[in-house]
Amino acid sequence: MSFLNVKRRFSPWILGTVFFLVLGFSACVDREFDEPPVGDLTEIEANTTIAQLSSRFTPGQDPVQITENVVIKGVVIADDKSGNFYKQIVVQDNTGGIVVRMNSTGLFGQFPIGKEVFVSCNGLYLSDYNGVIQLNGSAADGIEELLISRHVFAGPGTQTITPKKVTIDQLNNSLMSTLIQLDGVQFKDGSAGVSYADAAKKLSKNLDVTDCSGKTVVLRTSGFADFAAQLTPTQNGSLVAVYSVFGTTKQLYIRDVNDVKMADVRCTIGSGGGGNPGGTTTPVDTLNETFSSEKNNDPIVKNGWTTVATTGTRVWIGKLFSGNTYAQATAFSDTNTDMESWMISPPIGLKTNKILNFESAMAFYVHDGLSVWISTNYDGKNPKTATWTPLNGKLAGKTSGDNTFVASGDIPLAATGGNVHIGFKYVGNKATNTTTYRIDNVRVRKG
Amino acid sequence: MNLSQFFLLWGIFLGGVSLSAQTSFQVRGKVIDQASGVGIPGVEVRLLTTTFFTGPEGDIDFQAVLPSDGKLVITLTKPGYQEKEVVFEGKGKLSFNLGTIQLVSTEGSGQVNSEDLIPVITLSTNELEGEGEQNISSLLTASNDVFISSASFNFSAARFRLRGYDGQYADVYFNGVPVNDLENGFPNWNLWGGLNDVVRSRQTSIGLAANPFAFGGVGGATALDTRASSQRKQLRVSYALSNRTYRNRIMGTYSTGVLPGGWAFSVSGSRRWAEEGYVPGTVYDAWSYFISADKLFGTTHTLNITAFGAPVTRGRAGVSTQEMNDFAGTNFYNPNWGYQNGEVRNSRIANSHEPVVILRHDWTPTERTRLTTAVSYQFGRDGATAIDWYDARDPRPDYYRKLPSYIENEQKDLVAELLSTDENARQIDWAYMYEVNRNSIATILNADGMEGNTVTGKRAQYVIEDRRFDTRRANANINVEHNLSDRLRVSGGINYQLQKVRNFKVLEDLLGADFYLDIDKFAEFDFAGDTEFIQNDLDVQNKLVQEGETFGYDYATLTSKAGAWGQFEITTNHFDFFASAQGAQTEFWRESNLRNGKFPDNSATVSEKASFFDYGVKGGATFKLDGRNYFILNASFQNQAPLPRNGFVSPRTRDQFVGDLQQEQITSVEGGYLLRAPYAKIRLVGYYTEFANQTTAQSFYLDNAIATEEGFEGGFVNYIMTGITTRHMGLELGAEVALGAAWRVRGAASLGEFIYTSRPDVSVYLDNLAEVLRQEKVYIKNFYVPNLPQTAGTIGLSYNSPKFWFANLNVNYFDNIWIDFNPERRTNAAVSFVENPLFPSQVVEPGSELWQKILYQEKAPSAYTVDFFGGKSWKVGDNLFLYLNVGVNNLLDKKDFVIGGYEQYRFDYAEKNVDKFPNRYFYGYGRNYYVSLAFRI
Repeated sequence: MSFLNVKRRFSPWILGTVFFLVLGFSACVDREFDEPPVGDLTEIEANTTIAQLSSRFTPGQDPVQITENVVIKGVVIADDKSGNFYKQIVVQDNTGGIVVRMNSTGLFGQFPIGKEVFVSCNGLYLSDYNGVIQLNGSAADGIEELLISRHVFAGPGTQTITPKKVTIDQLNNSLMSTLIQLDGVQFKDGSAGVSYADAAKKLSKNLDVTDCSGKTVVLRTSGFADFAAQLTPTQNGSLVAVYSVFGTTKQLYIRDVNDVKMADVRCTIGSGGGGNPGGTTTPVDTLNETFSSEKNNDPIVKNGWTTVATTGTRVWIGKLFSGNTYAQATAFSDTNTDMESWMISPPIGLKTNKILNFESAMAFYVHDGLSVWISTNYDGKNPKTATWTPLNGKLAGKTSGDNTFVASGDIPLAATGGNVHIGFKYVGNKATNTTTYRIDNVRVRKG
Repeated sequence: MNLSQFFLLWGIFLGGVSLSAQTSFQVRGKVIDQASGVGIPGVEVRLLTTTFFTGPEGDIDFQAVLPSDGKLVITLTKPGYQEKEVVFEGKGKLSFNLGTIQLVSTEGSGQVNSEDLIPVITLSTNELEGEGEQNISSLLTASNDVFISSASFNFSAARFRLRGYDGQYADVYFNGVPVNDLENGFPNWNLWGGLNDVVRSRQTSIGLAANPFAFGGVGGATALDTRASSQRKQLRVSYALSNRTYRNRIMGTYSTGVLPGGWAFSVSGSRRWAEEGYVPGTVYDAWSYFISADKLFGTTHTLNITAFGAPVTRGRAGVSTQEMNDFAGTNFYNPNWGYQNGEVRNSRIANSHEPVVILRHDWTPTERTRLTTAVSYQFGRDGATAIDWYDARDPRPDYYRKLPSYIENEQKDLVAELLSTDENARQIDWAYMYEVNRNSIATILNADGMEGNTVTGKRAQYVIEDRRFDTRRANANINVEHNLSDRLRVSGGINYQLQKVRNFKVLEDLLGADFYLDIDKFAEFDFAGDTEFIQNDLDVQNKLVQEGETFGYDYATLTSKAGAWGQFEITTNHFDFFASAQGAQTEFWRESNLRNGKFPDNSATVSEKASFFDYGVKGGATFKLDGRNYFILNASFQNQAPLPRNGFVSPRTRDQFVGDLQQEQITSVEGGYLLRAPYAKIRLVGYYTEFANQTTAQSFYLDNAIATEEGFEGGFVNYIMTGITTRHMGLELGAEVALGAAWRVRGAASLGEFIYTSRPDVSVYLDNLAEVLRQEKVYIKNFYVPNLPQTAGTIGLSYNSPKFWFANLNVNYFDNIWIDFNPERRTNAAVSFVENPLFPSQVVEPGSELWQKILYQEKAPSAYTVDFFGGKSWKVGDNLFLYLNVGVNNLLDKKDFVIGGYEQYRFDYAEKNVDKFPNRYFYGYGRNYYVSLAFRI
């Protein structure tokens, strides 16, 4: 066979070929990777305490740029993991604490609570946000993401910071941006058993925390916090938080709900004032509810009124338009599929006949979603366990003008001898039944 | 011209043809390789307008019609050999022996060889994400046709596609079995990447011409023949050095030819590799192997088995904004990689290995009949890695929020300075991802679906996932060709295909963490607190995923296709006619065992079957003025089932079909003129094609997905477009003129207009919801089909020295390259006030500058490039040949040649700032070269 002859004659070629092929096929393309080592930070050392740094700035003055080698070292006491702190961490050392703002998310990945960090402040700015001193990358903005690695360094170690136990009285500027603990406190009536913030609308909320002597402090929570929809405890106990101010208002921020440990018996404090979600408000004889004390976009809570979602999470909320506040419910762009939500009056004494009237309005009509009910056995908590009887009255509907209040007309309430609750029920779903309903000027007078 | 008019014309054409009897004439002879003296099988022998092929030993034996002038002009063509024309005087004879005709290999002779086509753009079927890689038409391969070879060699760097068609419209057959993927329609040329030595033998038709092996797509068809008995007897070893997608290539091939006893064997293998290709960070390591064995049983039966595969691993190039390109100082900035411990690591590694085994039987019971039966099976893996992240910052180095263009304070300059001076700032920060994972201590309750199972460990926030789409496909194909007479040939076949594509994700690298949690982060964001809803696997809730385990989604799309086709070809003195028809039943469905928390009832199911009957007819006529001047007119109409890829709303999560799935209608007409003379070859073809009723399905993050009372919220959407019609019309010109023995001028031009002619309907679905989120019209009528030059031209001069060297210089021109558009920017919402989505009112003034900026499609600038190709060959001793080839593309090193690009799907609906999310562009490589040295015995 001719090939064999060829091979004999060109054996150097063949050998060369084999050698060449072996060489080629064994050439290495490296694709194995080691895990990168933990960052080495021997180069950096702190030369300034946080108190010294903060003393360079007086709240209210213009931002000050640091133009020399100033390095602080501290431990992260708050990060952005839960979302209650956003684009910032709070760092504390033995002398104080400071907010370090960075224009990025996921900061907790690199600077989790307990992490030792160094901040090289050269080029950064000191400023304040309504009294809270912070480190920024520019006069008004956090350190840009790509510049973080130039200024903020995670150390190798971690530390657990023990919060300083104080009383509400003792809260003052020396505790600014540090971790504190209040013992024997509880959420005040109206702030207890409600959500920490408005998760649906991503709105922050201020709640009152009180001690048994009635002293209060504001606990502020962001609507972006992943625990925003959780309800505050109704019992008494301890609260760990980062101390802060908003102008002259002292306020606290928790990192997450593990900072709230309230399982003891609630103490009774003088007169609560305001509403009570427990529905134990003293019965009223007459009613003239204009909802003007409700807060825009917050659930209806004042004057003994309550709102409860029996399907989904949407409740009736206060809405402010052209100076008028009213109550509103809608399933439009609800995050849940279905919505059923009650707004319930304080107990009304019905020893004699009385007359109810109110005004309703609707917008973006697609369905009839509003109904009005009365119950004699509502327990103040769960509308589903109560017996409800429908009430007749003119309601805003298909033919009504958008956002035009329609008077219900007088609705007689026959005497029962006991207390009753009036309930406004909204039923909808986000796919098709999304009409918005509003209620205002609910009046009960003697009949 | 509409279809009925065309057929009317055709009828008139037919009626004028005289079918008077002609003298039949017997021709015999043998074609051999000039160098080796071995017979060459499969050589196309063209006598006037009749075509035959040589037998296994290179023998010619056919009956033909003697031309009226008695002169036999016979043209012999075979890929890899120089075309040869021989003239014999046949007057008065009834038979003629041509004797032995020698063909000269094109190696070292100035012709472009397929093995020299080191791709500038990596071919790939499943990377339709618009990230710098894209299909080029499968027909772009070396060929004797001037137009096709110019398109493949000079146009492909600009992503040219023949007639602007997608790859799915050209059918590819490998040893008799179809290899187009049934799910996406594309032929996957990667399957045999690196096997250039053995896939040289091929028949290619473009457009609507008749094929003996298949009905063919509207774009044409290619049949590759790699059987050992079709391979040239040789030992060939080569090395190539390049700076394109890889740096080095070695290739070795050994073919025995037909041995005594009827056996033939062929083996081939290669390796292509680079630590880094032309684009930074693109590692490349590709192997290939091939084995084929034939056994000839007498002259009537041949049995062949062929097996091949190509394990390929390569880092992908990404495309970024001009802002990042400017910081990097190069238009080939690649955001996909970063340094890990000082070594370049690419986050997007494509890794495929899909072996194919083909068994084929050829039976020629008579000289007039050939029956080919082939079965094949394809299996293996395909996929590419990507970073996935949970509750962590976007790791992409060109994420817009951290770039100077987004920063509105004095740190802007510092960031800009950092990006232009520190390479690490521009690339992926691997160390950061490991650091975050190390810090991420989490406690998972009820882990792995077990109540009370509490696990604490490092929960990965960043992982590398391998997005897999493993394909298994079985084909059976029977084809018959029968010459009823010298004038009438019938051919046809039946075939059956079954394909299963398993789509799933595998955790490739935990990046130092202990586990990854198998939940849907988008669902968690929207539906926080619903612990079942967010589960990717409802039966193993809170699954802790380890490396090598499947997570996310796991479903298969299955497609079956059973079809038949038939064709008549009539040859007369001056006319050839053909008519073909095909029919096929396509069914596709989805299967999954994974119960998704969002769709517990319709995720772990076997879906219904979407079923379509496709048919196609085509016909054509060729008027042969003489043996040199041809006029062609062809037309076709086809129905085509929607591709399974576009048939499901969100196959990752559920078995929901796109509503009202419809077949696509393809109508095409082409006509042209061919000159085939020894001194000049001209091909001028005009075509008009309409693809009506197309459907596409895409998934991406949309900024204005969800309308709320406060405005819009973003969401991961499935974007279904239906009723898309495109119209492709244009002219193709190829010409080659010999200027004496050594000089030649070759030119080619493609002048096309490929536009959308309808306003498609869009349905937007959230991954999380079964209901359609919204429906709208997309105003894209008269938009251009993007990302290819609609105008392309080349002219080249070549010199072929009798002293065995040659040189070739081409100047190329490209124009009408249009940037891919975001359909959402062509809706009412894009030019409307968005504060209250229920009451859109126009705010962008029609016709204003902003209006134009939002709506008009961007066109890339036209460009010139220059290519060089040359070589030299030596003969050493009696049998050994050495070949040196050098090719340099883009000789003038033009680095700002925009060959395509796309608008981002992000759009600033509120401010209407078009520049907030600028377009991203693909650039053609700058000067790039290859040098290959081969020897052949």
